[in-house]
Amino acid sequence: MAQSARCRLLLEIGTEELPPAAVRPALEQLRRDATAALAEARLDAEHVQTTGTLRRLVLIADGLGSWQRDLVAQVRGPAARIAYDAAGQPTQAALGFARSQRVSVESLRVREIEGGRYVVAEVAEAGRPAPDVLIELLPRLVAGLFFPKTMRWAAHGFRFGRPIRWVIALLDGRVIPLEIAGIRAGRRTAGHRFLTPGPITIREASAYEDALRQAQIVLSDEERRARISGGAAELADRIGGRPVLDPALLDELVWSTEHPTPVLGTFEPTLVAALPPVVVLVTLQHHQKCFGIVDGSGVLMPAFVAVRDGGSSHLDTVRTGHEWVVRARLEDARFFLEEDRRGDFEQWNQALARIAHIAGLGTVADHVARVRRLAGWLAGAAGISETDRRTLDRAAELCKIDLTTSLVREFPELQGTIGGIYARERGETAGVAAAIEEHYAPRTAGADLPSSLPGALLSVADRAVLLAGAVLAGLEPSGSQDPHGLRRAAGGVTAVLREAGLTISLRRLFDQAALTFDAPDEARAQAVETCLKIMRARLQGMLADDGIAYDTINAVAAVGADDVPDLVERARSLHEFRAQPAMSLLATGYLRVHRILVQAGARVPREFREELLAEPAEIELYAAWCLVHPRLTEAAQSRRYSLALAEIAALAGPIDGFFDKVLVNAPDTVLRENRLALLEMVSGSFKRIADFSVLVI
Amino acid sequence: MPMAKRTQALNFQEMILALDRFWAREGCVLEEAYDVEVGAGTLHPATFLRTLGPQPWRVAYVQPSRRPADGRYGENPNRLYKHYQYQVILKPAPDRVQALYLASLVRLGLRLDHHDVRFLEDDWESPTLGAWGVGWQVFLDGQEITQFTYFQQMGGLDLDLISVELTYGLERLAMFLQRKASVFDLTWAPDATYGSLRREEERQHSAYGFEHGDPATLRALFEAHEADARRLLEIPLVLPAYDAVLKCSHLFNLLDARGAIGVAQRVELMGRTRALARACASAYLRQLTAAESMEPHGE
Repeated sequence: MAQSARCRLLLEIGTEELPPAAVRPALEQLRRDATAALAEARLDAEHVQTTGTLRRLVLIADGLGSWQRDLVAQVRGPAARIAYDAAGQPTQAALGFARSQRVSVESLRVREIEGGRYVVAEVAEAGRPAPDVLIELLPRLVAGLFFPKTMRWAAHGFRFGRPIRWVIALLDGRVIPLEIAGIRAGRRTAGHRFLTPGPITIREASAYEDALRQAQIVLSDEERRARISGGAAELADRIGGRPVLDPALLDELVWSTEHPTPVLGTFEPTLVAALPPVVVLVTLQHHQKCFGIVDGSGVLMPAFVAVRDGGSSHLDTVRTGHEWVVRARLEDARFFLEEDRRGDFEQWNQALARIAHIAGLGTVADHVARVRRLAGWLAGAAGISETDRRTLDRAAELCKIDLTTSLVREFPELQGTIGGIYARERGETAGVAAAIEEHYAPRTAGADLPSSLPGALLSVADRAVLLAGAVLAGLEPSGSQDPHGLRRAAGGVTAVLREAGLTISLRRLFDQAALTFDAPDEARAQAVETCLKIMRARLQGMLADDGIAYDTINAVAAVGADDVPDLVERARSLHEFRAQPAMSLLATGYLRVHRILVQAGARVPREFREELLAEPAEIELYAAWCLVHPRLTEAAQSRRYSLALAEIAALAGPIDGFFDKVLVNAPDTVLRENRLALLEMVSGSFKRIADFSVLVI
Repeated sequence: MPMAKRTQALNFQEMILALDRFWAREGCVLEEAYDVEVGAGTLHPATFLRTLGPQPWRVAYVQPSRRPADGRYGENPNRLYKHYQYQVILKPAPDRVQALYLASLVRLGLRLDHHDVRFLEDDWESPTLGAWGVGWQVFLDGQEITQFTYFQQMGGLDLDLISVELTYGLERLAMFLQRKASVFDLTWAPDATYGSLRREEERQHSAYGFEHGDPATLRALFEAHEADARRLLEIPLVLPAYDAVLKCSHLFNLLDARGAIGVAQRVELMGRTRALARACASAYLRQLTAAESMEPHGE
């Protein structure tokens, strides 16, 4: 083996600005893949790390061997009895094998492999110098990096997240002359776009971090994060406030800057007074990528923190620029608000008839009419108060009205929120305003759920109509394709029903939702089944997210998945019960009941007659069932399934005794049918909770 | 807070002249605006058609872009029925295209190190054109001033040679440079403001777009131009056919602003326009390939 020294590998892929959200995943993948590839290539490294910004992906491997480890491999040849003759001399087979492996025939050994004796050659492959290996390995790593969307930018057709403009590949001080995307690796990097424009030469891989620091590149994302959040807090503190550090915005800024410098800006207090706080905040965060500032009591202040990618010189121009733009944006929002205030519900309602809902489902006005109708049915089904019913109906009527307002056209993310604000301004009750805003909840999976009952019912109605309509229009999701967010809508329905503890039959819900569409009965019936299928998948997903095993989910769903809170409670209780010692006897007992009933086949109805019981063991089972069944039913009715399971556990012993002592398949048909009838009653009790036969024990 | 000292900002026409001079020196043909109504500079044949095929091409032009639904009767300081895009196409995309673009900002009088210039991810897509690209919005101190796109597909066709499209939003850039809160207060020329030249046009065209356009006429025109495009593609006369498609696209926008398009129809009309745009792109490329194979080769 050649003398292997420890050295440092530096790979820097210089790009045009990558999508900020793609940088961290790319760096993580690069570290993972590099670690694996180096190990596989027999290049040992003590420490592999990646770091970078949206303009550079950096891989550093410290303590890397300058040579590959030698490879020693055993290659299996012919069986020993073929390779050597009776005198122990190598045959043609052995000679041929040795030749093919380029080893001497004397060096062949006999080894026991998988019960046979074989000739084995020890083949050594001398390690190659690291650069010879890396020259192919590194370009492969880079080409394998995943980006959500890739592009071409030059004739070579290489695909990447954004164009690659330079590559550094250094092993200590030596350039590895590899090529990536038509670019020969060198030792020149670029500094900050504006702070240190000009090329920077990296003499030694070990000098990289210092060189970049001098070039004012903040390479570490943690350091950038600290500069931004710490700087923003300090600036806000100067005016007695604190920044609203929206985590998504903070992340975006960390990954879209190389030298972040926060700057404080202010605007006219009248603008804060004139606009709903949420509009100011969204303008600042989404449109201007700035942090809002609140005072000690959480009230928005007429100030913001912008983050410049650059140093602190001429910060005043930057401040003035941002202030000018923020002011223009807020003035713009105020203009829209005033324009909207001249409009009225009637006018907006008419405009809804001109906005397309998803293809094939008519207009948004049509959708609203359907939602209102379904909400009416839901009010009855959920048995809500007369006040709630009025709130729900009015909110349903107005729920999409803000879609035609100027503010929502400008700030689509505020749909519902603006509707709620305008409803309140126009004298609607707080309940109506809240339900309008809340009916979009949950806005994303896991987000806040409606807090009011009308809001929850409206959210369910909106989603159920969307789902039923889309399925009727043939737009059901397939594979990873779900352009209309139907799965998300289904997930929303399950989450809302669960949270609100609403017992609504899903089948009836979708029957009613489908009825709001003009379609042949058959198509409607089919659509309902599809909707229920999508719902069931979401329910299973939701329960699996809670850590509940798939067979538990299947067992409870097998006896009914129509009532969401009930299903959730059964799943949770069975999940917990399965950890208890009583479970195993109960489950095997049920399996025996189940098997014999399956064997016997369904003969409905089997009539049970107490007086036909003869054996003590069957009498005992019956007696136990008589005790358990009413209590179980009562517990189940109030959804106390842990209690129901504790009750039913009392049947485990009697079931066991029954099967030990009683011959179910008695020659006498009457006795046999009576015993089967008893078992059906027992099984029925179990099925109030789950089909235990589905459980994998 | 002291306002930083600034030299006199360029007026609107000086900005255009500066960009013209800059991009001419970079080898761009200075085209004129296309004389058919379009919603964006990308629809100009100098972009839509010339970015197809393997021939290198560099062009710059100002394109008045009409978006009837965005009209506000000249009352909103930020919204216009018609705005001006300064459009640059560089095909193939040069390696130093970002630096080149930044140099053009310097030409407009910006000291880049005095500001915060950012390339923020923004991918562009036009379903009507069957076109998409990847790139950024360029922000100057938080103001969006340019759309910067590497085209990937045009007319549903993968591009042989990748072009970069730079679209400067002239009004926004000018408002930023001149520090004007209303687009109508911009200085266009020493004695003319944007408002003095354009406000009445905004008012009248908004009134036309929202109130007085005659849906029946517009629809009939759409049908007529569509039929014409199809007929011309048969011959084939690709360039006149493409003009007819542009007419369709603008008529669609007018009908849409007028609220005269039924919901189902909207999708359908867009689909018809897209199909024609794609047909033009394919036909153009076919003619290009045919012309190339007929070119006499040196003896």
